[in-house]
Amino acid sequence: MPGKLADNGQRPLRRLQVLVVESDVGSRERIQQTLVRDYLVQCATTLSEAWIQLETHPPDILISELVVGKESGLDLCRAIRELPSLQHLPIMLLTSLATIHDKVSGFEAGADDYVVKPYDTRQLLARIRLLARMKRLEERDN
Amino acid sequence: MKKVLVIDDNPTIVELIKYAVNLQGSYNVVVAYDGVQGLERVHAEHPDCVIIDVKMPRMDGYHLVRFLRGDARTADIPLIILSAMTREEDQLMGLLSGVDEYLTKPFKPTVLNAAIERVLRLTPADRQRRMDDLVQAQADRE
Repeated sequence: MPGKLADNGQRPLRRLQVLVVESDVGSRERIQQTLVRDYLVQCATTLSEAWIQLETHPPDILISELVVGKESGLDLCRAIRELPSLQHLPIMLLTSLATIHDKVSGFEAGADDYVVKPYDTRQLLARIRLLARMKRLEERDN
Repeated sequence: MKKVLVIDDNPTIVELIKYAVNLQGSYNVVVAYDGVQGLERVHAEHPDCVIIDVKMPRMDGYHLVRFLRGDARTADIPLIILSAMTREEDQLMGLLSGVDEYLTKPFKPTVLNAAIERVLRLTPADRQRRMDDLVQAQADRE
């Protein structure tokens, strides 16, 4: 049931829960600041922290760097895709790595979207929302 | 002369598209036969427009569109999906991924050429507006 219109005449969006996996403190804070108005944001700085969050507070969408300290966001993607319960979790790689090889590796590891830093704030906010919608469509099809 | 990149794993369809786009317009057509090769060709050829199939080996068309839109170097390239997948959900997936036009096979050369002309006129602001509209449509559903 659609809710009331906001002041700008648009309907408010449900606040999706986003897990951000980012080891760099500056990047993490920037992403958090970007998302916090529209999304409920949880953060993890290592893969093990990410797993704890995934188990205790499963998010609607996961955003991860490719380089997480000395660990790899690709390993996180692969491990998530092996779990039936997380098979359909939308995964966005938000990274400073931008070669074709990086992108193909991200795709093969199971990422749904790949955004290269620096990102456009408005676009990022929209892409997260649309990615969640796409995954729901995919899930319904399978 | 404008450059059009055609990405489709079916060589017969590729030849049909090459013939069709040069019936009315005059384009330099370059070709790739799977999603990863398509990604490589985009970066190497800097096309003015890309025509993309959905079901392809190595990387499907939806992922390819998202990965191109997520990188500032390729985010504003006009993209057309030309696919045999005709359901409304398929078209919606294309639009949510960030494609400018979704056309279905079999196609009429006039329709394809008109779509190319339309997408060549789009600006980054047009794309942002469409993305915002899609997000708002999502809010209306919730």
